[in-house]
Amino acid sequence: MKNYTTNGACLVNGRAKCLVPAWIARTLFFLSAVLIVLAAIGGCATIPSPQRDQPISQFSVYFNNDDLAGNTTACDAVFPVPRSSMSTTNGTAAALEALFTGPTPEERSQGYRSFFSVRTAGLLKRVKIKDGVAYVDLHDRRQELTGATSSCGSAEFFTQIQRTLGQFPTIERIIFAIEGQPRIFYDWMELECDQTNDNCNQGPFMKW
Amino acid sequence: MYKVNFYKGNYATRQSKANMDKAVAYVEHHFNSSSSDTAGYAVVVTGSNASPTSKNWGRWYAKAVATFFGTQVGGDNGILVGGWSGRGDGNLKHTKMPAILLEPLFASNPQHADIIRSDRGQTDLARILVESIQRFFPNGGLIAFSVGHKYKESNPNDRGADLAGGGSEADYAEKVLNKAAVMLKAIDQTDMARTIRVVRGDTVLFETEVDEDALVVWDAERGLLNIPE
Repeated sequence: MKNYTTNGACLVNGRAKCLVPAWIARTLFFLSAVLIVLAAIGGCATIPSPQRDQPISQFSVYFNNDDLAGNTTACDAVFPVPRSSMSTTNGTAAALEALFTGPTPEERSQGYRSFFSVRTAGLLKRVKIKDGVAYVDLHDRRQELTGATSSCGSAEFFTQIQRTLGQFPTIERIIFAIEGQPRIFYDWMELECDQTNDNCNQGPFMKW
Repeated sequence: MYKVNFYKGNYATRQSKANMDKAVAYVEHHFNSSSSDTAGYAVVVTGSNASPTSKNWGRWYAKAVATFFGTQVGGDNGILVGGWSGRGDGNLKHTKMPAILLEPLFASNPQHADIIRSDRGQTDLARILVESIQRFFPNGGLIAFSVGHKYKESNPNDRGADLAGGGSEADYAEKVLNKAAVMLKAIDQTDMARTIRVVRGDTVLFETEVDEDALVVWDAERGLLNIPE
């Protein structure tokens, strides 16, 4: 039995005796090691790895669906569809990003609907959770969500977000802002700044 | 008999001014919207502190719109007290007079949007609003009008929902209120009695006064409108 040791020495039945000179064996061993390392580095970008492609978190996003609701007047009736994420750090951000991308074409063909679509995929600026409050900071995409401020439209908008974030047990309340300013969001939604939204306190969005 | 003022600025400011002017009724006009292009019902938001008059007025208006346009009423028999999760409550709750926020049709519904854009549809909506005001405020007075979304100092570019096929909610809400204002100002003292009208399009075929409390019953089988003596 012939083996190479970690330092390239050639062993035959445990004895240092080999047909190839030891210096050649050591060189071949070194080159092999270099090739393995290079292949591994290149593989990060190009070689699929079954382990790496496994989703790290799975959750639902919620959309309206008249077929499931049974009528078109139940603007706050939303239903889950599954999503997964490779993100390891911020599950709430992943869930909101998935929600804001809207239903897939297949889901739309099944009756799921939302103001959110690929056009609003970048709506989320940032989200953090502190003391049970999810602070959701949005980019200013009001022109793409004009219908979300009516009574029915706002019911759709808020319910989809609330139910999606409701999966995360640490979240008890949600405070919104646009570009870091709660007052802009709540004014857009035609809601007054009061106790329910911490009087549009900008502080938590300034100290991120 | 009726005077009309349009109030502008932020919603709290509008309501405060209407209170100072001692308006007898406050109307804010919007249109509804949804991600569904088939959603279509009439609903009226009242303040969380709404009086029975506001609630009855809102229900009457929503039912009249739904009947006229062949839709249905939303909310609780046509009204959402305090709005959905408070949305719209701040638009009304600071008033000292009966106040309603109208969402008669859906801007997102293509058929509704065609009605909203049409001069005829605006006239029909204005007439229903005027009739509701005559019914609930028969003694006349100052009527406060507020165009939803538009003229806010905090967000001057807000026009509300886009209409399916083009246009903006607020611009058409303003057209309806402008027509209603003209109709209200044209009403003189002698028009203040409760009237029954038969109309074809914009043409009044028959008109008669009836007692304020008369129970008028339409018999669809016989094609008969029964007005008690």
